[in-house]
Amino acid sequence: MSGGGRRRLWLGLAGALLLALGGAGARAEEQLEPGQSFTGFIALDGQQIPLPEGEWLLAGHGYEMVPSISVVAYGAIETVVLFRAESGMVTALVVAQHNLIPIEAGWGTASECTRDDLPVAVIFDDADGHGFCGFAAPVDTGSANRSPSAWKIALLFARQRELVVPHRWLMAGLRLSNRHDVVDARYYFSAALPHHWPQQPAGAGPAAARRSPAMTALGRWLEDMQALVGLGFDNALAGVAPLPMPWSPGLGATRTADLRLARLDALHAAKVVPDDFYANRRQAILKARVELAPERMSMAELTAWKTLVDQMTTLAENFVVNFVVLGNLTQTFGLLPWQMTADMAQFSTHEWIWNFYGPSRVRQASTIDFTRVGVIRTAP
Amino acid sequence: MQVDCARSIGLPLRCGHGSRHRRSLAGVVMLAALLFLGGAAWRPALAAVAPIGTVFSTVLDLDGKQVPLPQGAWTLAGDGFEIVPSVRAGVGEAIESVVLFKIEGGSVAAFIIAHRNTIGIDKGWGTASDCERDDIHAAVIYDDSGAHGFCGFVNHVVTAIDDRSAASWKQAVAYAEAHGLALAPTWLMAGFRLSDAADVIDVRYHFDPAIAGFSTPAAVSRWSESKWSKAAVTGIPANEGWGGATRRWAGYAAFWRSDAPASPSARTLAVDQLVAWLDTMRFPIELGFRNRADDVAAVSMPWSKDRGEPSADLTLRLQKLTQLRARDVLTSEQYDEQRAIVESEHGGVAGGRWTAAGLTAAKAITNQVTTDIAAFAANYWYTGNAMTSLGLIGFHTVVDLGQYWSSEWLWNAFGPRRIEALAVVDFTGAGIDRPSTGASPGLPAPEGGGLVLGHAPAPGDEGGESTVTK
Repeated sequence: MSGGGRRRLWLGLAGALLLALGGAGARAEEQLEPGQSFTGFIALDGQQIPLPEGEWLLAGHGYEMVPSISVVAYGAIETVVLFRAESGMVTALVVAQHNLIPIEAGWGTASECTRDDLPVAVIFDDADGHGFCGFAAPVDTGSANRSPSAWKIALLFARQRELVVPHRWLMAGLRLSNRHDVVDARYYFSAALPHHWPQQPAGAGPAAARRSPAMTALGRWLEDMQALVGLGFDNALAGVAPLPMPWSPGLGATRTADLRLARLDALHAAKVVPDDFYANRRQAILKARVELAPERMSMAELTAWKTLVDQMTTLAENFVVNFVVLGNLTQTFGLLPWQMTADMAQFSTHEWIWNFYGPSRVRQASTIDFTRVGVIRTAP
Repeated sequence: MQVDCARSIGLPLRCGHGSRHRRSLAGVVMLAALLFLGGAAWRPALAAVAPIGTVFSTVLDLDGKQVPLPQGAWTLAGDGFEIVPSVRAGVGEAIESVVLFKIEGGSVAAFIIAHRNTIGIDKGWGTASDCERDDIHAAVIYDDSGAHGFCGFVNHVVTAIDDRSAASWKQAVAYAEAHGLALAPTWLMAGFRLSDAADVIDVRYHFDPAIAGFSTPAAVSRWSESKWSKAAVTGIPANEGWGGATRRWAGYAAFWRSDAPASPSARTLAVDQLVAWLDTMRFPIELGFRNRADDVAAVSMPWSKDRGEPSADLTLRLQKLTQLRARDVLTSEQYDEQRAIVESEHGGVAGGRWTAAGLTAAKAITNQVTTDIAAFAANYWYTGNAMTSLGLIGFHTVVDLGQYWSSEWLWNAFGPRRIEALAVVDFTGAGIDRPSTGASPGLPAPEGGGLVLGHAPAPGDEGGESTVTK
């Protein structure tokens, strides 16, 4: 078979598969069709997903169920895949997933948020029932196994459009949820863009590769992008300028600062706020940095630390009281081990029960993962 | 949703309440204007939401957050800005507030006052004092985790203008006078405070008890004197001491000695229905905070004949579930399973937030009981003498209480899982909604210190006239 014939056959097969896979998706959301282009953000059912600067093509759209949360009425998880194409190559892509029906008990967290082997994993909010975290890592999309249907549709779309889809990416992701809804947005940037990525110094070891200059810059970009994901979660992206691509020279003050300063300027210009208020708030806005949630001790850690501190103070207390009552140093010392053993058992049990069932109990967010696009490669 | 941008010109000036009331209201408005001019150094120079007089239905966009409106047409009557004390130290926060009137037959049947921050912050907005009050009809905390706060409350509010009044409320009173609209002397209010780390919205829906079928109440000068106060509605005195409360609970316990319970009064039922309405409105408020209030239909007014409709959250969830089934995204088994869950689900309520001292005290008690048991066992095992063991326990109890309490308090106040005290941030308001002792930090005492106004009663009302007290 000639090259042209093979190509036509591939395209025909791809078209048929696209129709077969995309049928449910196309019916489910008639307004979202592969090939549509978006700038700024894409509006899904109930929330907006911010897109970095440039034109983005909707490449895939589909629905999945999450087996691990079968007793929750969330409808389905909607997934969209968008491509940013340059010269016949997909240089960046966005995979966004969210629930369609609000629930009551919260959405836990993504496993990436709590991994300690990723170059970037930050938690912005971990209040009970709420979660906001970000992560960045190299990802390989060579295999489409166990990928969402939207990704498979996107690959077929790329084939139809004769777009090359690289396998190696740097991915920056954000997971934001409250008690009702969740959004998981992951931004992939092609490793085939050497002029975009800050390069690793020659001879750098594995430790440096884990947090390369490119990854460090991507971590900063992620912190800026979190503000836009937050705005999108609240459907407030209309009129907000999109964020430049990572590593681009346009990155400067954070979007949060930009938005707040614009609002403050408008209030000041309208004489709603006095000069001293304006000056003070302007300073505060410019100084503000993205706040991370404080690191939390686990229930076991907290119980262990409190028991240790209690044992030390109780030892001194027991020694004094024993000596006052018994008046005998030998007896005082002899009684101490018994008292300390009993106290340790009592205190740790008492503390664990309070931490587990008490009013300010140490709650651990459950991990709920959606189907992913690609595999995280932590090794360089 | 904006329905009509025309100013509401041509409203009846006043229907049949005589010139005396007009004179008193005119005086009120003049005084309101003076208060407004003298009290606020920085006044709004722009009407940010829309021109005054604009009519809205279903939803009002307020600085990027939506305020859900109950069914009907709502006229923008006031729009202003204030700088209120901040959660953090500093120059304060700029807050915008709006007042919307629901006008029926020359009177204001209901009004809404909504507050919204104009500039986002990073560390949360604390809570409203109303969320934790026990002298009002209801206060429910839905969420109080970290920087997130969401609560609802039901109270009665006396119509007045004082130093706590929002600029938007002063404007609204002037608007009412200009258009000859009567304001009820007392309102039943259902309100919400919803915030995250960056933003806050405070929405309060005020209803003339007349729309619940009650005659217009007499104007009162003090909040606690109203027939709609919790004490008046429940019959439990506001100043009931421990003794009274104990006797009352003992009476409940000894039910066989009590008289048959009296059927609830009409006012009790009306308040209960408003509390139920608060629960209905909760989900649209949350949707509005995320600019999705358009997803659900406008909720009917409290006490209306349409109140039997399913809740907004149930309607929305079932509607989306049905769409997913119709599009073959869900199998019929998945649909049935999820539908059963949706129908059994309802929004949760958070437990009360404990203070460091409260938690320490509770833990100290349980710790002491268990410690004494363990210590006695250890002492007796070693000494073989019950009296010596008891003697040791006595001393240990005294010393241990001090040691445990101090250690636990330090952990709760400064430890890695410390209990953060939630700041109370109250905005300016519309009317008197608390006794004088309930003044908020940074705000002057409200009761009796302001300007109380109300409309003259219609025939058959409980009496009372427009009053102005200082």
